[in-house]
Amino acid sequence: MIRRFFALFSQDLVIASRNALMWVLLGALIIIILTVRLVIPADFEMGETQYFYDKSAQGYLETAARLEGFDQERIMGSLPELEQVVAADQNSIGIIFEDDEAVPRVTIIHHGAISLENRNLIAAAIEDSLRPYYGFSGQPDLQVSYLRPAAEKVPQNQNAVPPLLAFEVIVNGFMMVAVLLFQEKMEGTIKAYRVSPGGPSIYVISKAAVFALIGIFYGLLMVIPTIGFSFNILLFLIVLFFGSLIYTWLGLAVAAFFNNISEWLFIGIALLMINMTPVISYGWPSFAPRWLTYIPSYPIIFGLREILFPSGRSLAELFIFLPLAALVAYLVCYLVVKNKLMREGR
Amino acid sequence: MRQIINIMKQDLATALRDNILLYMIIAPLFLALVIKAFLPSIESAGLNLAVSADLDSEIIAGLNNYAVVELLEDNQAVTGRVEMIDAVPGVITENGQIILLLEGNEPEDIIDAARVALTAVIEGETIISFEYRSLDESASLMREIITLSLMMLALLLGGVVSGFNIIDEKDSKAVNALAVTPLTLSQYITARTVLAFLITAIITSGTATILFGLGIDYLKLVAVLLASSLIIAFFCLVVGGFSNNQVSAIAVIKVLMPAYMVIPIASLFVSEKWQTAFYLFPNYWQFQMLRGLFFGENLVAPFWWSLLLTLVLSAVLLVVMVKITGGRLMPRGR
Repeated sequence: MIRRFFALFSQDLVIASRNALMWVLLGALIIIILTVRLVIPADFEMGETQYFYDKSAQGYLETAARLEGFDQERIMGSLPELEQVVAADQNSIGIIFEDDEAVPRVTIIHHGAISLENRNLIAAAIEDSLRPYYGFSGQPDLQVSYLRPAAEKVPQNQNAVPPLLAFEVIVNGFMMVAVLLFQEKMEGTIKAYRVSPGGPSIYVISKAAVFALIGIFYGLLMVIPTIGFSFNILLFLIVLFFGSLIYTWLGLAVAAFFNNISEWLFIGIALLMINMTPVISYGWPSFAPRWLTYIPSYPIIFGLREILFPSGRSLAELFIFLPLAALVAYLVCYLVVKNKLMREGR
Repeated sequence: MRQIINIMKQDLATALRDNILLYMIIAPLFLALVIKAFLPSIESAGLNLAVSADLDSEIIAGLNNYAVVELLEDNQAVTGRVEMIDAVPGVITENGQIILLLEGNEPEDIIDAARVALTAVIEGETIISFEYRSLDESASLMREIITLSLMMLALLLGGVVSGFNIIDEKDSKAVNALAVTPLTLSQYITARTVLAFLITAIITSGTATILFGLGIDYLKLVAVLLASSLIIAFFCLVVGGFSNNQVSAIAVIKVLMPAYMVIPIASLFVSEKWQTAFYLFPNYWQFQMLRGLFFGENLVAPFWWSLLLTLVLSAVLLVVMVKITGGRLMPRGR
């Protein structure tokens, strides 16, 4: 059985590595490394840009903005100037402060609609900065407690590496195994395999082993030039290994229901796009509806971040999830291959 | 003309036989429905707090004004929630002291928002009056990125499938038979593009209607489709011309798709003075054209200018691509 596995594995490896895709992976790898190292700024901010205009005689807002580290270019000299910059930048808000009457007044100008909670949050943040100027210097009775020491801020360019690993390296098998399968269908290899003593288990394990191996090399070649060696390589390899197995088996289970790549393409791309939705939570971590957490890439992307930039969070759940998900994916794939793929055209 | 129609009929028959047409139309529309359903919750995502039920009811009610509150039975449950993967700070109480509980790896803006919200609730009294003024009805950046990405994808798919049809003909050597017929290269490309265009038109119109409702300007949508027709032909040529089999086609798509989607989206995050770096890309103008149609705010150029530039630049690109791939599409490359 082991000899049969290695024979099929080496054959699959040769087929997977002799085509143009390997060159594309190499090209993609070089582009990713250059983008992470040279293009994405380390201090890139995704949040909205705030512009200020202080109409009051006291200049409290301007002082507070400067104290909080805002550049001079964010502080406008007139209302038309503020309206102009906010109008030009869709991802911005303008804050106007007036204090010529009994009650100080702030007007927020913004684009589109802002939810009531977010409006209240903006108001609370501004009020928090201005309260000391009105004699409310005492902090309320509030204690902040950390379960673990506060983690160091990850540079934004390096922060882009876990999503790239999850959605480029690990899912590679999902697409590639479909391509190999359709090629085999077209060449009649599967029909020949049916009469060989191999069986479905060797077939599915061999395919997954090929893409796990490619995933490990691809992942290491991506992470070492962008992040270095400052992480637990063993844990990293385990995630790449199981992640690649899961997606290759899922990819094979899906592809088995189609006859050619044209049929598969739309479903395949749709599934890959759904699989990418956890990237929203990665960028905006307060967005994490329950349905999103059920997508396998969700724990993988956050797990990779914890491995690459350790903050002390336990990875136990991830390492229970990965083998279990791989087992489920294997069983599903095995059953589909045995009952569908190996019986087609009989 | 008859030869063009014959090739189209043949492609259509293959597509209908293999259910390709069905998948091709249903998959993007289904994706549009999913996105339409979840977009509001993605857009309004703000602060989430896990709050212990042991807290004073007034504090809990106050926090509801600033965040989506998840009320949990005690401090231990809150601690468990805070330790989960996402970034949800907790609020607990111990010996009458209110504690903001953090895991330690939350983004700075979430920590600030949680602290500010809790401070505001504890303080109670406000000293500043606030007014809000919206400059326009524009959508959030997130909505723009997600919906326009889907529209761009819809515009890409027809060309890709047509490219796969070319590969099938190469694989089955049918292209050799075509080469000895009176069919010219331009007729061959036209036949492939017209069908791809018709399919793209159905997918794009359906996707646009699902995402933006019936109130969209359909005349402009037709103009967008017509202006994109040369880009569709370009995809068809790139996929069909550079690939000899399905494996290399996937390799080509792997390069083509990110370049097509990422370039215009990246332009949203680049300041005005650097926008010129994108001016030579037809997909950048196609994106601007779509922005003009569906969002109509903060455009680099008016809708019709973007349309014209999409057409001109994609025509240039298409001519170059025909020169490069002509010989690869048909043996004689006539």
